Order: sequence, then C-alpha cells, then structure tokens
Amino acid sequence: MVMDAFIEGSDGVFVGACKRGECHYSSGNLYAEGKMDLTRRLMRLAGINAGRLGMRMMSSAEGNKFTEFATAFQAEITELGPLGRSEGISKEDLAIKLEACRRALAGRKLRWVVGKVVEFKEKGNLYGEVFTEHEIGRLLEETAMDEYRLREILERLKVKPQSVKTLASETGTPAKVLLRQMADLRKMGLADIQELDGDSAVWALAGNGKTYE
Amino acid sequence: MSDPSARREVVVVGGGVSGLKAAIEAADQGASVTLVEESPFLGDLLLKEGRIPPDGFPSLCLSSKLINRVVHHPGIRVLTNSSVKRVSKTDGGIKVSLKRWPARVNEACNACGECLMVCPIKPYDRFNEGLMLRTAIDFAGPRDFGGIYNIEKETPACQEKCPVHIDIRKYVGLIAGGRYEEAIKVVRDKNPLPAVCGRICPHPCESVCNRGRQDEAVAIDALKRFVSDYEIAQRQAGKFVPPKPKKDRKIKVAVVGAGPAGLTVAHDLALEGFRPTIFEAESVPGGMLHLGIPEYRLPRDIIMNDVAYIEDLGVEIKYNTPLTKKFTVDDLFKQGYKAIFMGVGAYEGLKMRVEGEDEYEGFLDCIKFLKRVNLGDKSKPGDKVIVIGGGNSAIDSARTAIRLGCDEVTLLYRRSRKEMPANSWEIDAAAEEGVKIHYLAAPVKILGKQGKVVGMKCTRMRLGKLDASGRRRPIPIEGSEFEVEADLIVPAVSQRPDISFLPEEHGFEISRWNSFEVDTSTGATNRPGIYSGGDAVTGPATVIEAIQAGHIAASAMKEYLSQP
Amino acid sequence: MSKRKKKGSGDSRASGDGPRIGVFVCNCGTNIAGFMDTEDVAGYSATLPNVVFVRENLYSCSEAGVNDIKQAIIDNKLDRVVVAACTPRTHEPTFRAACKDAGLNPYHFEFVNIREHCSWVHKEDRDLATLKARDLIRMGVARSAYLEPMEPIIGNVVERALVVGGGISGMTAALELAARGFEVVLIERQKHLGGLVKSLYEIYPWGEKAADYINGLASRVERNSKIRVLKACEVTDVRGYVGKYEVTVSSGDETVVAGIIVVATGARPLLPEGMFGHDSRRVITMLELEAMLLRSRSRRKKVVLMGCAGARIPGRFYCSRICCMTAIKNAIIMRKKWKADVTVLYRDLMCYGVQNETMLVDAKKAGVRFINYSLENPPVIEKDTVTVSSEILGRDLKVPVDLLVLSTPLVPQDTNVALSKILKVPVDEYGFFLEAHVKLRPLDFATDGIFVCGTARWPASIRECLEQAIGAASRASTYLARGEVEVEPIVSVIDEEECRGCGLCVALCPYGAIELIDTEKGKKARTIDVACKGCGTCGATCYRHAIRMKHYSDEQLGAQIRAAFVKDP
Repeated sequence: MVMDAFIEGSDGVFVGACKRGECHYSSGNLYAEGKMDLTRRLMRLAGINAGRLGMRMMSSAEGNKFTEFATAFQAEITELGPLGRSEGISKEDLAIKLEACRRALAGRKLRWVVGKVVEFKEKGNLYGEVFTEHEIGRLLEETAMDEYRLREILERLKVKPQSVKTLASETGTPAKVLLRQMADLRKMGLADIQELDGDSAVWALAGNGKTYE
Repeated sequence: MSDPSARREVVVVGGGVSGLKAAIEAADQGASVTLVEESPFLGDLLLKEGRIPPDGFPSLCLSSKLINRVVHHPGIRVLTNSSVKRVSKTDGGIKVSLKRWPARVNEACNACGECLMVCPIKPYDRFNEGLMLRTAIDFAGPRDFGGIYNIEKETPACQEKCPVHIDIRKYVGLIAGGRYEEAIKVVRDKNPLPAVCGRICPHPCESVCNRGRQDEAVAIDALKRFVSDYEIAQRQAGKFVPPKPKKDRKIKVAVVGAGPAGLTVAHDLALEGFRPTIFEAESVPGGMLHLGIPEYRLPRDIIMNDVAYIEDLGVEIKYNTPLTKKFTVDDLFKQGYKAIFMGVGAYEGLKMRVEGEDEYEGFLDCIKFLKRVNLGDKSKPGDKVIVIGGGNSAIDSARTAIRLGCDEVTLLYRRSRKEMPANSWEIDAAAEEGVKIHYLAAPVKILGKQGKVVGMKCTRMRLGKLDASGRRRPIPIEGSEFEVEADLIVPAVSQRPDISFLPEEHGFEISRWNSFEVDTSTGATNRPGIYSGGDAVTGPATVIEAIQAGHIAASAMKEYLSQP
Repeated sequence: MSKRKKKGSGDSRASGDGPRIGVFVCNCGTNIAGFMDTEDVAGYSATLPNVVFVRENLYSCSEAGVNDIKQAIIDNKLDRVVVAACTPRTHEPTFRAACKDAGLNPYHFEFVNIREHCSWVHKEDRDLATLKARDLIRMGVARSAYLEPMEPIIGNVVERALVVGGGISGMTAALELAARGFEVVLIERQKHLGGLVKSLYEIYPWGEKAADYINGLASRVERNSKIRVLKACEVTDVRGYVGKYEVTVSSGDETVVAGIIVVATGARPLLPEGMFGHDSRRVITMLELEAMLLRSRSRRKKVVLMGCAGARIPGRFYCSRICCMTAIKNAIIMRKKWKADVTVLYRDLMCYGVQNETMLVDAKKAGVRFINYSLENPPVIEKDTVTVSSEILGRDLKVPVDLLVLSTPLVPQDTNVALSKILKVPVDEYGFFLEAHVKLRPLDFATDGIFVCGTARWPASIRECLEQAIGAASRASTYLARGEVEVEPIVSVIDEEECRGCGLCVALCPYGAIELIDTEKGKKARTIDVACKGCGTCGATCYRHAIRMKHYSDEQLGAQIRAAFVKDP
C-alpha cells in the first residue's frame, strides 16, 4: 500500500503509529515498524531517498507531537521536491524501480522472512538457534538486496529483452553479480537467453508470462 | 520359506546400486531388511552419472527402478540420513546401533517447491564454482521418484571445534543483545564449569573463528568469563535461582574424584534426578584445577563458585576420602551405589630417564610441586630451579617458582617454541616474569655433590623428521653440551594416572600408560557399572576435554541405570 | 490481475448499474462550515463518480440530520452512504444505525472526517481546508464503492469467570461476580488468600485492623459455593477468546474454561536494596513497620518517616499514591501507641479526598512534624540523626532518630510481563498492566473479555481497589449476563483455495485467532471470527495473499489511495 502511494504519485508517505507497547492491536505497530524498515531498505536499494517514507510513533493523546512530526515531514518532503528529482532518476526508471520495490514487498520471499523475524528472535529457528538483532538485520539486508535486484531485472526485461551488459549499466549492478542472478532466474524458469547478439547473450522473460509472485 | 523360528533380519548399509540390489535380494528371500544410507537420498553415484558405460544406458532407468522397488517393498525399511554408530555381538546375532540425523524436512513435505523459491540463505555453490546462486535448501535426486528436499546446515566452526559443542553463536549473540541470563544458561547447558573455563580454557574455538581471518577472533572465552562473572554477581545478590533437577530417582551413584570430569558427571546425573556422591581424596574440590593450576591463573573462589552451583543440585562431596586398597570400588557397590565413575586424574609424574636421576636428592616432579604450593606451602623450594618440559604445567611450575622467590628459574624444552604445547600467552608471561627459557635443549646428565643435586648437563638439539606424534623429532647436536646450576629440578615431562590405590585383584583393564581402558563412546570400563574419563583415561589433557568425557560417561551411566 | 477481478465481483458494481452513492456534508454548526466552503465541497461531491445524491446538513448527527439520511436512502435508492463530518469514535454507530433503519446494510456506510482531520487543523487557511475536504471526500467515495455488506458475529459466552489474584481486589471481584450468580474460579499464587493487605496493621482512614477485614473477606470467599479457590497456583497458558478462554493452570492438568478473565495480580513494595542504609533493623520499609506494629512488642521513641524513597526519581517517575496516607496513618498510630516523636520527611504531600485530608490535619494536631525535602538534596542518614535540608526554611535540620522508615513505592509484580504475554495484553513501561483507554475503558483491556483492577494497574488505596474490583466485576457481568457476544465483523477471511497451511499467520496472530484445520486438501488456516480483531497482521504476512481483511480490503484501500492522487479538472 505504501508503495502503491508512491506509484500513484506521492512524493512522501507518512506513517503514524502508536507508541511501542501501546498498540491497539497488541503488537501490530511493531510488525508495521518492521515492514516500514524493510520498505526503506528497498527504497535505498532502488536509489530512492528513504526519508520519503516517514514513520513516527506517538500516543493518541499526543496531538502536539503529531503536528510537530507532520509539519517537519512536510517541510522535508517539500525540500526534496518531487519523487525522482532529488534522486536524479528519470521518470521511466522511477516507474520500474517503484514497481520492483512493490513486487519485492508483495513477493513471497520477503513476506516469509519478515513473517519469521519475531519467531527467530524469540523462539529461534528449527534448530533452536535464536537470532540476534545484528543477524536479523544482515539477513534482511541480504534478502532484500537479492530480491530487489531480481525484481528490477524482471521489470527491465519486461520492457525489452537485453544483454547482461546493458542491464548492468542500467541497474548499476556489477555484471558479475548480475550474471549469477540471471543464471538463477533461468533455473527458476523466469528468464532465458533469447538470442545471441554478437558475443553477448540477449535475455528475455520466459515461462509464458508466468510471473514470480 | 526357511525355518520361521530363525531370525531373519538383515541390515544393508549403503543405498547405492549394490545396496539397493542387495536389499531387494534379501527381502525377496523373506528377510526383513533395514537399508541404511548416510545421505538423504538413495541411488548414490548412479543418480549423478547421466549414463552408464559401456553402452551409455541412461542411469535413471536403472536406479529409478531399483529405488522404486526398494521404497515400495513391504519387507524393506529405509533409513536415510542415518549412519552406523556401533556394531556389537549379541546372543546369536549382531546388534547395529544407528545414528539418525534429524530429517530436516519432515514427512509433511509434499514437494510443493515453495522452499526453493523463498529460501533467503545463499551459500557458496561449490559445484558450480560460485557461478550460480543456490539455496540452503536443496533438491537432490530425480524429481519424480526418490528425490528429496534437504537443508544444508552447517555447524559454526567454533561450536564444531569445542569439545562439548557449546552453542557459542547463541551465547555470544545473547551477550551482544544484553540478555546475560539467557546467555549463561546456554553456556551452562553444555559446560558445568563456566567460570573456570572462562579463565583457563585453551579455547580452541577461537583458533577457528572465521573473524580471525579478517582481523582477530571473537573473544569467546572472555565472553564466557563475563557471563559467568555476571552469574556470580547475581548469586551474591541472592537473585540467582538454581535449576530444578528432575524427579528424584532415589538411585545412589558414586563419583571418585572431584576434578572436572567427576564434577561434570555428578552435575549431569544430579540434574537427571540421581543422587551422586563424590569421593575426593584431598581436602579441596576441583582436582587438577585446584592442585595443579596456580592460583594466579585460576582464583580459588572461582572454582568454589562453580562447585557450589553443583552442590546446590544436591551433590554431596566427601573430602579426604580416597579410595585405598582397603576401601575399594567393591565397597562402594556394597554401600548401595549403583554405578561408579572413576575420575581419578593423572597425578604420577613421569621420569625424565636421564642419567643420575635416581642418585641425588633435589627432585620434585611438577605435580607434587604444584600440589604442595596449592595446598598452602608457600616456602621457597630452592634457589636455582630447573623446570624440564614444554606443557602448561611446566610453565605453571616455572612461574610459581618465580613467585615463591627462587633466584633463578630455567626452563628447558627440547623442541622449538613453535612445537611447545603450552598456551602461547603463558609462555610470553613466563618470559616476561624472568623465566629463562632454553628452547631446543635437553638434559643429558644430572650433576650432584654429596647426594644432592647441584646442576644439570644439557645438550642443544636440532629438529629432524616428523615422529609418531606428528612433531619434528629433536636430535642432539654433538659437542653442544652446556651446564646449568640448580639445587632443585622439576621434571614436567608428562603424567600418568596413579593407580597405586587399586587392590591387587582390581579386575580393570589398564593400559600400559596406567590409564583405564574404556569404550570411548560411553566411557565404560570393562567392569559393569564402572565408568571412567578425563585424565584417568587420556593422560594429561584440558579441562574442556575432561568435561566432554564427563558428559559422555554421564549419559551412558544414565542409560545403564535406567535399565530395569 | 485475475485475482483482483475475482474479489471485486462480490460488490454491486458488477451488477451493471454501479453503486448509488449518497454524500452528506455536515457543517457541524460552525465547527466545519466556519473554516471551509462547505457549499463548494458539497457541489464538488456531486461531480464524483457514482454519486447520485448530495445534501448539506447543519448537524448530520441531529434527529433531523439522521432522518434526512434515512429518507434520502429510501427516496433515492442509495446503496452507499458517505457522511463527511467528524470522527467515527463519536458518531459511527449513529449513522450505521440510520442505514440499518433505512434497510441498508450498516457496513455500506463510510465516514469521512473533515472536522478533526481538516477544519480544526487548517483553521488558518480556508481555501486549503476546502481543497483538502474535497480530497478526503473523493477518497471516501472511492472506497465506499467497494464496501461489502457484513453481518455481526455472534459467539456464546461460558458463564464462568476467572479471577487471577486472591488479594483484596481479586477477592472482592470474585464475591461481586458470585453475588450476581456467576461461577468464579479464583487463582492465587500464594498458599493463602489475602495478598499485600494481609501483612498490614491498620487500614486508613477507618482505623480498622487489616487482618480482621481481609480474613473476613477471605472466609466469605472460601465459604461461597459459587467460588472455587485454587491456591499456590499460577496461570501457565491461555487459549481462546472472549466467551471461551481455556486457561491452563500450574496445579495440574486441569483446564479452566471461563468466559471472561479479571486480572487482579496486585503489586509489591520495592525492596530498598542498599538504599538509605536499609538494614531491616534501624532503617526499615513501611511494610516492615506494619509488621512491627503488628508484633506490638518493640517500640521506638524517635521515628522518622521518609516519603518517595525510590519513587518519582529518574527511571521510576511515577507517584506511588498511597505512601503519604500510609505514612500519616502510621505516624498517628506511633504517636498514640508508642508516644514517639514522629517526623515525616516529604517531597510533596498528597492526601486526596475528604477523609484523607482530615487525617493530615489530625496528624498535625497530634504533633507529627512535617519537613519538606527536595530530590536534589535528599536527607543524609547517619547513625543517630537524619540531616534534612528543608526547602521551606532554607537550612539544614538535624532530626534525632532511632527508627527510619522508608516509604518505598509499589512496583509491578515480577510475573506481570510473563502473564501479559500469556494473556496477550500490554504492560506499561514499568511493568504495570495497561488498560484499553485511560478514560473510555479504564477497567478493560484492549482484548475483549479481560479486565484489570487494583494495584495490578497502578498503586491504589484499598478503597480504590474495592471500587475497581466492583467496577471490573460489573464490566465482566455485562458479557456473562448476555450469554453471547456480538463482535464487529471486521475480521480476516482466508481463501482456502490459496492457503497452503504454512502456519505463518497462526504464529503471528497476536490474538490466537487463527487455527490450522485438517481438510481434504491438507492443512488450511481458518480465522476464528469471534477472536479476530481485524488488525491485519496476517493479511500483511501471507505470502500467498490468501488472506484479506473485511472492510479494509486491498481494493477498498487501493481505491482510496488512487483517488488521493487524482488531479481535479
């Protein structure tokens, strides 16, 4: 939903939540915080200023705080200007990057990982290994990076089939890393080599439009 | 069908093509077959090879047929992920003990493939030289039959290396998160002497720590010391709740020796609801921890704290109660103890086998020397002291001699510093404190006057080829002899168990090193109900190894005592 | 995407004509109309898609306004009603009822807040407020098109109450509930009933012996045939939901099934470890003084009572509320009984209420000295004297002492956090239980059917404990007496076709409101409607997108978001 707002043209999204431990839905605000944290990670990966997604926690009795936050946030966003401008991203690129973020967030992998965070921190995984804050952060960052790259490749291939080299220059990901990702995509049946253009292979979406949710 | 009264149970080890075929053959003949395969899937090499020479017959056609028959054969039970642990003879048969690795993907798996899609862990893909991405969860074998999902799970290097496999990753992480109480519980789960180990464990874990490749290993041992200190503080503040042992089983168990192995056994058995009593020859607990290790390395209140924890579990320690020729293990059985653990340690110093060793006065082997000091005799043993050996007890002896005010302390070691088994930081400290260390030097002859030691003739050595211990063998350099003055010589060559307390007809199998012969997987001696471990079995070794031996023996003793 | 289309097919838009939306713009007197051009807003609303009727009311919530809405629904065959007025907190029920009366499903009503969210916060800019009101209404209208009809969920209530804690609050609540004819199970952690009050001497302001009172109460509880008392027993696990909580207790394998739960676990006085030289002999706590008075043998001549020992300090900011009165009560007792010199050191004195203030006057009359001190200059305690720097006199006073009594604050029970996790109710930053709303629902938890009373919430006097206990029992009775609960149908719905039974949602649900059931097609998750609060955690987690939230579906919120960014002509 937050990504939808950006896609629809919002330049900033502000999420207000209850204070920790005061959530009407018990611990919902903590889950929300986790999700917002992840969303910001993805925005950073996409090269979008993560400050455009603001989240503040306050109690329902703290109207003054809300005013303060809202005013400050508005000022921040006004200074940043329209989405993409301060980041130096073109409109077409922005659309691709936002869609990649949206799909990554709605995708099964990140949902699984985020869904397991609380369990991993409290009860531990299948082997009873409890994760520390640091480990969770690293896991999330790695997964988010992986997912984001994959989604961005898919989005770009959707526009037009292209080679790893051009993809690398468009996404800013090193070609070496990208190649591995392409092999992975091929294994998953999502992309394949369409034709050879001289020395380089041109990749295209595969699987009869089967999309990776 | 053959004679139905005959036992027709067959175990086939190995799930390759021969194993599969053998299982089918045996089962077809009416035997009930158990097929044991170490990997998670059947078929072995056949599956990996695409075609079979010489004619290039597709291997799947063969293996899938075999696997299908095996899997659906009513007479065959397939145990994958299992390995043979022990084979022993029983009445008219063979008993095979298996170890089953936990099936990480359990029977509920319906091969939906979701896991492959979402697994966030991407280990290095060795098979493709890192060119592909792969996931920690994997699919092995043909997709349509016999294939199986499995998780590649690595034990962290430190945990793997630790003799008692403490979940180091977890407790270090918990400490990082400020969850100290949980952290100490994790340590205690595997190590009943955390405060002691926090100080003197040689921490093999740190030597394999991956971080060490970057800069320095994580200070695992110091962190253990930190949480154990935290526990001590909690204890002193009266905020500590000792764990509750399981239901009292009202079974008495005797543990001989309150060293680390014995304490571990008593600790484990007490938690399981047994009633262990420790018989200790000396007036203090801890064994070598107390008698062998100098106080500057291991403060006594630290030992007492760990011991107090074990006593809180209901373990009774009887001091000054050695086993003797008149008070034997048989007497313990008569007193109603159902099982006995012999944790008597290794207290007999070995001789150097040097000329003149038996002629003069002025010898004190390192264990006797350290024991004397550690039991309170702080008098100066001599003016000029030579210590011979390169282990921790040699260094301990030398540093202790310095502390007692000896004028000159010389340490001789026949190999170079690199081969020296003592902890490197101990060697540095000894040199810092003024111990003169001669590497590549060995005694040749003891010099004496009027029946007393006055010095020692030594020779320089060089290192030759590798010997049986894997170290380079020292060879004397001819004509390099030199003399060192001394009025006390402390041999710290090695120790072996002192079994002089055993009566003539003790019935134990004893090795030529005077140690107890045991089944290493259980710690059981040849006498039923009697177990042993620690230095008494291995000769001088580390605390953490003694703890490991204690755990092994305790779990075997529990099994033994639980038999009806 | 195909999925979206499928879900959208339930609404009447699919029937061909599209929904018929009515928009009502409330002026709220001048509260709204005073700060924006409501006429413009109403006119704009009429231009929005599917809007067939617009009306501006002076007060939509008035009898006239409501009748207007009803009439409009009938006359114009409206099937969606959007009211742009104030907050749903106040009038949502009113307008839903109006819809229902006019034959429209009450959940076909959409509330747009143009007062709190608009006119009040943009008082200084009339034009901007008008534009924002247009935006808000456009968003509300967009969402309303996707609203679905829903029926309230009804669940049965087991006519039994569980009271946790056998102190004065718990026992009182139990007796109250029993008096209303309900079965009660009372769980007490200790081996005997009575709680903290049992160790007190006399109770203010009556001067009654605490033991007499509490023992009387305990025996009434024990004799009551409706109440079953489980002593030396703790709650170890709670499953279920309002109407049917299944509670596992530590005393055995027994499971207590109860419709509601009252939490009355009390509090304990802070142990002043190392504070002010506390040694339990010359420096004691107020509770130790009570014990001393009970024993009545030992008596001291020079007593100093010190307030706020460990309370209202950085890190423990709150006032323990009962200490001042307790100190004054005991000062009077020691004055009379021991003929002692009594000095009370205080930072602030709080003797709220009529009787308590009278007690303060009595204490002064009886010759108790009161000296004020500050947090910055705490009293210095030596062997025979206490030196206090008086705020009022501006100089140090030396007070001879042979007994120093520390008023330490009540602090939460150590078990609160564990219990809060079991019950899935919150605790505050100190570890006291936290009610649903300080003013609107002071005795309820946010979780339906669980109530709190007594010092489990805050330090409270005996009188307040009794009031709260009676109040909590009364709140609980409303559920028990009705025999059934009506729950808002804003719950999650799980598409069994899509669900893979992975259990992620089950693990995450803060209310235990999702269960895995065995079906022909394997394990599937299913929402327990009565227990679901509609928080959406499951929906946001499901990797299959198989869970959707009723009344807050992706289509509804998506429509709202899209509408927010539509550029006006």
